[in-house]
Amino acid sequence: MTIHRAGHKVILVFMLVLALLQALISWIPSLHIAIEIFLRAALVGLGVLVLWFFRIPKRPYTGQPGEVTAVSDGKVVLVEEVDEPEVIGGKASRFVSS
Amino acid sequence: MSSGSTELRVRALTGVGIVALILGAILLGPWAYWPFLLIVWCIGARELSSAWRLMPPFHRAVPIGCAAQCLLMLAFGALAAMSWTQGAYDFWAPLGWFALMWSNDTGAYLVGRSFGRHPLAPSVSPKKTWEGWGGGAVVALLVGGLLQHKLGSPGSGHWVVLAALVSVFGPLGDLLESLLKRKAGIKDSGQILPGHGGILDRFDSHIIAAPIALLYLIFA
Repeated sequence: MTIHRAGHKVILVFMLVLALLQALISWIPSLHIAIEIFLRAALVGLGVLVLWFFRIPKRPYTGQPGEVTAVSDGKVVLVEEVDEPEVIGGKASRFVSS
Repeated sequence: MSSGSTELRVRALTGVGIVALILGAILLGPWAYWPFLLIVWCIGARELSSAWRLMPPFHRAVPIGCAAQCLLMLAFGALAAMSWTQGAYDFWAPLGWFALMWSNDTGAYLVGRSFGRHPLAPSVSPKKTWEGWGGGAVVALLVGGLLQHKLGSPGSGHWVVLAALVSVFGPLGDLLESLLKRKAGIKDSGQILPGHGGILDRFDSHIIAAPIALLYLIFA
């Protein structure tokens, strides 16, 4: 998994802010340990979400010739045969992906 | 029974408990290992901030406290991320890492106790010796070689390289924590682990070594 170039700056700034907040949690007086764990976990979760948002997932192509693959994370919802008189001038296949 | 041997027994028992807990968490999978690290880190962060409050005014600057907290966070983050460098949970990476760290600690302790002559950093940690450091390095490298032989490479890295990182940066983290405790005027960072002290006393070797090892595993 790699991180998209467009996310580098956002991630850097976000991580610095999150790290600062994590450090500042240590200064909250008489904070209950359970609340501290929750707060720290929430901040870590936020950081993971930002990373996740900018990820470039590995998508190995496993399709066979003749198969229809949907774009990005979509799903092929319709494969049908239609008449297309204008350009092709006859029968054509129509694919719809969500 | 003398109080000395009782203390040793408590220490050994706690040690076995710590090892069992860490191994169990790693083997149970990411949803045990990561929350485990999170809780340990939170306790460590508390110990760190209470130690920081005891430091003399000059060292008690907020940026120093923040930097120390960030360093601790990076260490635990690295310990967590180490298990996911290949896009899936791989328990061998943290397992091998802890094995290297424990072998380094044990080798350093045993060799240093038997042959230690030349102090490593007398003003920070008087009991550490160069002989102990060398012993730790040799044992860690041997275990690294064994892991490489038995397991193959961790991610895109090499176990012997990780062992070298452990033997250089592990003791550095130790010394850093000793320095912190010395400045704060305390002997242990906490009392949560009977016979061992606090969380920071047990995880100090990871503080510098783990982030560097993670960078190595990602970019190697």
